[in-house]
Amino acid sequence: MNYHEDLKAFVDGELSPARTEDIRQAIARDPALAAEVEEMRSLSAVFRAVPQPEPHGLDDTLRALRLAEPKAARRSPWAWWLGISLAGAGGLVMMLTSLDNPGAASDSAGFASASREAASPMAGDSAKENAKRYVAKAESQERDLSLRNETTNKAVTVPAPPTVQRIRGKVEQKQTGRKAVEKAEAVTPEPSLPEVLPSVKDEVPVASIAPAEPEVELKVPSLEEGRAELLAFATENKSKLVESEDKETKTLVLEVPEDQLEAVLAKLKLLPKMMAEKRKRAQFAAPAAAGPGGPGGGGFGGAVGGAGAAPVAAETKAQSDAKGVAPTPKKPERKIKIILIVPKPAVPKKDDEANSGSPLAVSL
Amino acid sequence: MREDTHNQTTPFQARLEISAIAQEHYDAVFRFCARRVGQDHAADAAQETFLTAQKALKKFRGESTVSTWLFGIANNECRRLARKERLVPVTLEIDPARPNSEHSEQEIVNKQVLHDAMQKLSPEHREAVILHELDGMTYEEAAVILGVPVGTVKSRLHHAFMNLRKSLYPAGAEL
Repeated sequence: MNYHEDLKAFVDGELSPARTEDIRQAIARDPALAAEVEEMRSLSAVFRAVPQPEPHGLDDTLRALRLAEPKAARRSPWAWWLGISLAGAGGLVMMLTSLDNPGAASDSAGFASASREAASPMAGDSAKENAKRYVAKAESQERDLSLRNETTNKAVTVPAPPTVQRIRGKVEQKQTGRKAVEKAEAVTPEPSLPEVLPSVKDEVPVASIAPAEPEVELKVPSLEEGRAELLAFATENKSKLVESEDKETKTLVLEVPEDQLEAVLAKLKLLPKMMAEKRKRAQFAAPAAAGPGGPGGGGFGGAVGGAGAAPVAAETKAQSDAKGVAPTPKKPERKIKIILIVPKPAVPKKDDEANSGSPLAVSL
Repeated sequence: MREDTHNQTTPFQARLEISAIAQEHYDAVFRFCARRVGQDHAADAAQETFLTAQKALKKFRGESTVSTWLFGIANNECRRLARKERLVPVTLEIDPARPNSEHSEQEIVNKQVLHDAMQKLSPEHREAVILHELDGMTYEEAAVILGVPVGTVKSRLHHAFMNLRKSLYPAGAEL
């Protein structure tokens, strides 16, 4: 029987009791086997004497295990309840909001029902009216949005946040044309002022945030007459005409109390007609006294004596600057930009040019 | 090896106790790794072992002890790391710069000789020796980790010791 191959297992105690007994008897009989067993035991002792490595890094491993822990295992039971509660609360808030503002909540539903009714063969006039109403509402909302955007664009030239620009760029890349732009605007609405201002308040002057000045174009026979008429108009309407020192300029600014802005604008639009009527009346009343186109010729309505006779209410910008700021608190004012348009004089004909030196030709 | 109390743990319970398992078995796994990839890479290998174990815990059926299961994972991780880092097999780390008062100079010499003798063994024989002699595993545990029958472990150990005797005790080996 070969005991040699089992000596190691014998030393390690890995043999069955019967086999262990057989080996023991063999070793007792054979000194060479006994010497071999002794060498194996000493060799194992050498291995056991090898110092153990010093462990380190347990904390790092525990941290890594925590980080790598699956989310589901990490989520504690109360987190489920918290999530369910929050979802329920959110739903309740949405329901209450829709009850408070049924119009907003029922917009889509109403539109859908109107379309349904219109499509139905039993649809009557009410369905059509509903559909019309919703279409009109949608159009007015679209108009409001475009107006608001226009105003915002004029008043504040602040670039949209990068996110909005990025999204808008993507949308515009995909769609071209006017509709595409409208869609892009709808998808990425302009940021409202309070959103934009905090980030750019250091760069954007406050004055530029004010609404844009309305502009009115007035056709006048001459700059002087137009300016004089506007001075009279300003006096009548408790407004102030701020003139530039340069008398040749065609642009004037009328400072109007904010609450009268609409009324003054309406009157200003009628001003050319009134000027024409006054002029006609003046011509009929005193044809001899009022020379046509004369600078001091009666004026329009007699309120103004000419460009040189400025009323009390009107003053030049330089004068107002010299006086300084009024001590009493001012009412909020709006400015109206008025552009005077003077019709070009008729180009004289060649015949006229030939007789240009003749006084008769001028009077004709 | 001492009895493992985790072999009765259900997978669900084991998943919940991964931190406890790591705390209990980390030192043994670290040493196991240190003998294969060296002290410098042992922490990494041990961490990878527990991270792999964390993922595989639901597959653990308790057929072996947790420590045996962990050593099996660690063995694979060490092989992977050694391949990746091109590490030379380490069996006995001898650091003369850190003299230990408990070990004499002669012991250091013996370890050097033993280290050289181990390097002459085939990888299979060397692995069997490390598992049994250094890691203190039974033949059965070593067989589980190596994925071979117990008889194979026994045979490998026998032949490994014959070779070691030839290296360490040339005169005796001729007997």
